[in-house]
Amino acid sequence: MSGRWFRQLLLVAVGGLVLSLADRAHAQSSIRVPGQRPKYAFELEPHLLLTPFGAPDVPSGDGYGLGVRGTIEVAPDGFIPKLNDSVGIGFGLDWIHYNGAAGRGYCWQFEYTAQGVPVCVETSPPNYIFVPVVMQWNFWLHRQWSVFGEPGLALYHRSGEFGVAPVFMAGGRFHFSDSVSLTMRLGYPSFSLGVSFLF
Amino acid sequence: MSRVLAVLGFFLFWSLCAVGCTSGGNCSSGAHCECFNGDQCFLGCDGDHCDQSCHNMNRCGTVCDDGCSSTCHDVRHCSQSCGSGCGLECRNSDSCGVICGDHCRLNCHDTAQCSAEVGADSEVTCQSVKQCAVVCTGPCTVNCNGTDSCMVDCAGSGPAKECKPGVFACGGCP
Repeated sequence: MSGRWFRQLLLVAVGGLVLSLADRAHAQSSIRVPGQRPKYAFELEPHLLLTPFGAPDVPSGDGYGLGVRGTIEVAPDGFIPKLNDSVGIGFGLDWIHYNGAAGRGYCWQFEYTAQGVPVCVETSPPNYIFVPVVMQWNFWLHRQWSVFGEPGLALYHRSGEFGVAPVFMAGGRFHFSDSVSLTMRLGYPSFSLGVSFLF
Repeated sequence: MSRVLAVLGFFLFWSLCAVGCTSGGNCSSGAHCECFNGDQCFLGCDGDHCDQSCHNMNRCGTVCDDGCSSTCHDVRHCSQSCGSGCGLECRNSDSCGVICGDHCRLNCHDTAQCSAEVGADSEVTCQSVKQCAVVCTGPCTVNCNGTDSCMVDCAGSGPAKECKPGVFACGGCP
């Protein structure tokens, strides 16, 4: 009986908190006030990376890594005049180590038979370097919150081989101040968590 | 306070992900591992006695220590390397490249090219293979059946002896 009362009390408390936060957020919303946001020309964001997705061209399992993203603001007023949006072009450098899946990876070392046929003698989970180039479309929701979408492409390099992979990210920032924020992305090829410095 | 909780929440989420979302991915000793349908894949084995399979790819290979079995089929370029006491099969490929140790049993068939280096006391069969080329680093037997060319070399001691039509041996006929 006391458990049921506790659950009901918890529901009421959580509901009240959500309503209160939503009301407060609505009151402070800046999405319909173009220009009410931190002023910056360049965003520098070092980040950690995690991915549940495999590498673009070999079976590889999940992975982790680190990288950096630089974004240049190119359209401070964005695409939609009545919204507080902006557009930037982002360039990055990301290193990801994939864990390999059930022994699958790429060939680390080949030896050759007398007829010159290559034989793999050592495998390794792959490491990739990605160079993403994206369009970053920002929406400044609140003094402390902004979200963005990032479609683009990434050039990747793995053990002498190059390729191109699609990039699609959805992200958000929690602004500690006008020049520093915590930035998270979800998407492909990897999730990221970093700190943005706005200059 | 809410800022601190939000930041802590983010870091907790990422810490849990770092532990839970990534995992080691070796094919453990004795396990069955398979790669199929794709461009390329190379299967490793974390020790001995793996059972590895590659099929329906452009390029695929298996790497293992001792006592492993490996099958590669319907792959343009197959690669198989193994220690001693392995059983290997390669079929329906443009090329099979094999390096294995002693007591290796290799069956190459229905393939354009089979090129292998095998250790002592190995047995190789090439059947319906355009070009079969084997280098034995010790006593071995090579059985060529339906091949356009069959070249068997005894490393360090020249060409193998043809024991009977299509059957070659290094270190004396069986």
